[in-house]
Amino acid sequence: MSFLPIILTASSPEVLERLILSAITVVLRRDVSLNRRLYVWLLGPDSKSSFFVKYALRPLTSALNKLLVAQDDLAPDPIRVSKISLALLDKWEIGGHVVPGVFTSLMEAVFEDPEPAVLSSTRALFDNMDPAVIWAELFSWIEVGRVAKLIWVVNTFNLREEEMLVKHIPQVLLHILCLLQHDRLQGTAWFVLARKLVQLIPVRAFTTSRGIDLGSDLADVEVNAFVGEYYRKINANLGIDAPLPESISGIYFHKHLLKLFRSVGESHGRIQENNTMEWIALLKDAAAIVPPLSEFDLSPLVGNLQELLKEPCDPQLLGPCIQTTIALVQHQHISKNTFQLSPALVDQAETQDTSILATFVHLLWRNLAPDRITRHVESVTYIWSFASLVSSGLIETLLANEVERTSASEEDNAQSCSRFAVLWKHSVDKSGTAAVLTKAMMLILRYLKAEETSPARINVERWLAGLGNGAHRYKHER
Amino acid sequence: MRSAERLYTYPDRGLFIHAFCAGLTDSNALVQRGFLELLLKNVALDLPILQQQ
Repeated sequence: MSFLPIILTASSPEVLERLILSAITVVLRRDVSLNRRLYVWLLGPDSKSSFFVKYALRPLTSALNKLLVAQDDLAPDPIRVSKISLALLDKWEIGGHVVPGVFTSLMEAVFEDPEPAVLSSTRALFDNMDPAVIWAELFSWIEVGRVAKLIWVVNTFNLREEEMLVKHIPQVLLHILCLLQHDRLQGTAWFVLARKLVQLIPVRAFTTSRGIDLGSDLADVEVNAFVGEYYRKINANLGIDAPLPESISGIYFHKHLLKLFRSVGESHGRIQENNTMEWIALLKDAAAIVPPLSEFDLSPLVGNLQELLKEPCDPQLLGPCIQTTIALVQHQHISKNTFQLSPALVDQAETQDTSILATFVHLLWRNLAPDRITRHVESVTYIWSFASLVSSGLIETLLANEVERTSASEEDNAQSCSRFAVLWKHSVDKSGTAAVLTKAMMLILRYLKAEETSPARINVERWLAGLGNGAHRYKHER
Repeated sequence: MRSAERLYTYPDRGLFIHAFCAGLTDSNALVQRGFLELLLKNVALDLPILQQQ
């Protein structure tokens, strides 16, 4: 074949885009001889990445992005874009520049129309991309508030690549939490994302000493600056065979994360009050995943939670506070001793001010009132869940304290009896009922000595009459 | 305009690009290879005419 000199006289960006797109399509054949010719054309006479960047990158990226939006009567074609991008990854000098330029548009197109075939081809691209490039793109999404899409990516794509698990996810999670701590991200969806990211982190991500330590100040602003700079470096190295920049060390990540968690619920803290519930829920998930650290005792957190529960508090806050406290104790972030009352306080009504457990029991006892019927079952369940923290004897004492505390009037006594009847009703099938209920029951039975017309006595008699054959289930296991 | 140039660019310059696009996306790999050779030898990406905005 002889080659004639061809002289072109005019062009437009669209013409070049069409020509390059047509040429690039040959990569789909996976034919070495075709690819070799294509790459030589794209990289120029000296086979340099800079030639491609200067003359072909912009039109090629633009052409691929145009394929992702409907034009005239042509539907978007994310499968083709995914396949071309995937094939170009074989030639890093080209693919390294092109793929980041189409990644976000491609993901948005798939997000809008996630058909199985489209998802499959996009997953193939995702799994073959450099994790650093993926996270540099996902990091840029944080800055523009694409939180719903970030959650979708976490739900849809494989993020269990080792580099992601030990470097990118910890770093990005810490970055997000530092922003949330300072109210620089808005909306509860960020907490949904944070909870999903926490679930992915393996224990080894907390123990690695390799990497950068940003200092003992554990300053949030330094984390934000570092992570931003880290992904700027990744973007600057696209298409270049450069080593990965050093990320935050696992040990530093661990300490900073615990520092953030320790300040949850601080009344004067930087954490926005509206997000308290989300922080507490995140903490519950994190308790099982983040290992405890002796130098980061989370006991101060107990005081913060107790402060939050002081009246007037959001009734929805009680359940998450209890669950989180139990999770923190179970995973040894807080010592069980924190919940032991000193002998001098055990039988005093003031215990509520000194022990979070007494605060919990006090609020749960109030929830047993007959007019709060929707909370009865969960409140009794929470009372029984304290058995994992303290002895049955202490729970029994705290319940008895509640009966005593509210015995100022006949009306109060009647209320106590009604609450006890609810506690009894939902407890009789549990084991060790005698160990928990006896003291309170004895106090309630005292009301039988009152006058026949006393509301408290009437309530006790009604409760006893309603026991029927159920009383035998009261178990004497102390 | 020389006759050879005129052959490729008249009456519609777009025809030249259309031809390349058709050749490069042909179902026959040999045809694609031939058009890639043509690109490689005659239509360098840095040609001012291609890069004109």
